[in-house]
Amino acid sequence: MKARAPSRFSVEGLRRPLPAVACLLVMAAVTGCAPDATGASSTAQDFHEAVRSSDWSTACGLLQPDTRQQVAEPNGGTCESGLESLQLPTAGTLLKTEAYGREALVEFDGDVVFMASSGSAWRVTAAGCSPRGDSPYLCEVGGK
Amino acid sequence: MKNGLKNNGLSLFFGAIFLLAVVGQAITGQAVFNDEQLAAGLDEISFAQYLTSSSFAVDVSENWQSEYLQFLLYIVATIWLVQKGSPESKELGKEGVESDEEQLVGEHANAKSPAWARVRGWRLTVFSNSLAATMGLIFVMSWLVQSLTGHAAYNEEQLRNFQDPIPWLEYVASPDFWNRTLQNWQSEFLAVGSMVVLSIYLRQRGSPESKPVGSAHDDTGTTG
Repeated sequence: MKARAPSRFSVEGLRRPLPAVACLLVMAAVTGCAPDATGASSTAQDFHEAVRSSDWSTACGLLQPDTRQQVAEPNGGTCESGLESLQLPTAGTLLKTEAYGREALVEFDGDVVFMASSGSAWRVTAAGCSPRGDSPYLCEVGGK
Repeated sequence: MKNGLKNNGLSLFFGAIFLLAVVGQAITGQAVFNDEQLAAGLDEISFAQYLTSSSFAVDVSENWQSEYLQFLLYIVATIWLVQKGSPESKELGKEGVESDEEQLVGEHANAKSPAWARVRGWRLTVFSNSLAATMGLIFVMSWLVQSLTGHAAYNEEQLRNFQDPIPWLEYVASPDFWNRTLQNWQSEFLAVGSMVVLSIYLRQRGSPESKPVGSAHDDTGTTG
């Protein structure tokens, strides 16, 4: 992050600007590409569908491992029993999905779900989330 | 071959250490990124994934833009500003863009002058400002890339912390963007200023960035 001080002011090493411009374009193209937001919203919808149909095993399988453990720990039981005991809101229409790098937010009518990329799939890191201004969302599942 | 290496030693040396440094930055950057992923209970990423991440891109581009800005300012400021005694300055009294005769353009061009230095009109204007224009273009593009990749990296961090992402326009007015920018600018400006002043009184034998060792402290614009 921090720049070092230059040792020389001549432009000897910078006489060929085209490689630098090409590097910038490649950098912007490669890192500027939006990650697969559709995959995130699809997984979030699958999660809510599993919760709606009380398919706790499938719902737990869509949680990030760390989140799955958080759900199981409070009652000393399994993730499935933990999810069943929570009052997760019902998700309505998909309103928007925003994905940056390896993270995504999926907003439904009635719920906000946070996702993280795990291997080649998306997994839920938090669900049942309500906004609290600039503070982190308050979530029923996962979150802070 | 041997002559080619010798005649381009400076470019090759800096090209080589640039590559080594950027590889080192990538390796250590991946380690830092993965530490943060593990702390948040998330998966580690591969080296290839880190190389194409906004996190790596913003760390690279924020340094690039400040370096090119430094050279741009130095190229342009030294047209009109001088520093008595500094080999980095031109001679006192030569402030400005100088005469055509001094610049060897138009009818004052010699047989080895580049073609666009020998003609009048837009080609001479473009060629006369091509160095600053190119450095300026790379600076602007690097800064733009910093803003785009910094925006993505910032929002990724926001989401990792279960907070709302922000729009790009809000990001370019944010403390994160300006802190990344200004912390690089201040170091570049300090380094250039130090070199201008220290080279008045100090010498490095054999370096064209220094005056000859025996030059007087008030000799301006001489290089050794």
